[in-house]
Amino acid sequence: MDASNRDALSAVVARQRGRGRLRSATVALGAASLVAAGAIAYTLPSGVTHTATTTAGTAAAGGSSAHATSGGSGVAAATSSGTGSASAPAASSGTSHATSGGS
Amino acid sequence: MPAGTAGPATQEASASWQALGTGVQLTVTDASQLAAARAMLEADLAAVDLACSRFRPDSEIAVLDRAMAGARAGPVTVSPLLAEAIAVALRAARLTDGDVDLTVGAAMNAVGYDRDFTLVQRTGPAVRLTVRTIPGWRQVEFDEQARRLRVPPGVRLDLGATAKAWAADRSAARIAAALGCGALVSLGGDIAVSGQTPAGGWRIRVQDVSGQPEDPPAGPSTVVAIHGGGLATSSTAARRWRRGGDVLHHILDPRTGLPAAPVWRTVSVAAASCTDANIASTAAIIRGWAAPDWLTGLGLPARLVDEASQVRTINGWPAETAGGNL
Repeated sequence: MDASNRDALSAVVARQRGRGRLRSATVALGAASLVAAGAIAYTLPSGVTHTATTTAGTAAAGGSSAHATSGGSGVAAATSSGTGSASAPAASSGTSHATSGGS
Repeated sequence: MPAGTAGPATQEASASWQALGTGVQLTVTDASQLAAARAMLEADLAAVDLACSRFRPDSEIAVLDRAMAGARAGPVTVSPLLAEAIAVALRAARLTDGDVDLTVGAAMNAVGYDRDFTLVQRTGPAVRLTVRTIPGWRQVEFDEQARRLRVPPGVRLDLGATAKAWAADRSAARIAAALGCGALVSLGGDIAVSGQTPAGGWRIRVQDVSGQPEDPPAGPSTVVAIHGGGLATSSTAARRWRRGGDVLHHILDPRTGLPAAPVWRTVSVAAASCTDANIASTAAIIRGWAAPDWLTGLGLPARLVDEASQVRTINGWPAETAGGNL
């Protein structure tokens, strides 16, 4: 990266920090927007059913399942899988079934 | 048996392989169903790859990209599967105020991620990195009901931020429903679970870079158990490459078209679905210092690891000592 681009990056980082401060002040509004947009499933307990899907389910190729996570809310995913619990994970130990990291 | 409940003890079985340019792991709670489950998952992933891969010239999205290149190209009808993937990506953009944006395709190419990552040279000469705002998801015109899509010329779609998690959700649910067992599907560490839950839950080791459970992790890690939904981790420690003196990674900030600033190297989130967990974890990397407040506001359990390996947990994610609880 040449010097001019480093300067530009520094400016961007500084701007992002400023944006971060702004966002911290508006986080409540952001969360409200998310709920309005259908993301309320993030905090719904397991098994709660709603009709908040904002767009139609889809006919996924080869699929008989209507796992419509595309539907504008996570509610569809929760109800179609029967799980969807957003409860906190529990501490565990021993052999893992899988790992989760970047890939 | 209702999905998500613990059933009688059965023998779990797993398989792993490569697909979608990443590691796939499938675990089922009934070993006798593993072959059938794998066949379903392989078919699902092949279909997703053919619809969504920007690295295959024969993929539907690549064909669309060429079709949309004309200055006055009109909308085109896309397949149901690609329509679902695009809808998921647009939802991610909407929920994150554009932090997770599907119009980063050209910017990805510009920073060197222009082919399957296995083919990306890990080191290379310096590239000129130009700060530029990407087109933005609002440029994409999409009628989900009619499956009609129009993308302005020059805008290249990249569904990589959401497609794996969505595919994991989709396949885990399909397998559990069709075979009547519990299923865990991991696509590069984006994990969805569905159906019967093993005793004690699905145990997942969270770490910087996905790997085999039997292999020791590099860097801080912890083991947690989930009983439903999904868990996803986004990390700048994975899919990195070097150009000249710069280390680049695959999570771009749409506001700069450049790799996100190094604040959190790894963010893990648990949510009602793997898709939602992935949306939140990816956005958290991009939001940097603002991420904890944002995640707290959403009520999502999360674990954030900064560049100095300091771990921060929020919203009920199990606390851990420095270095994890491994």
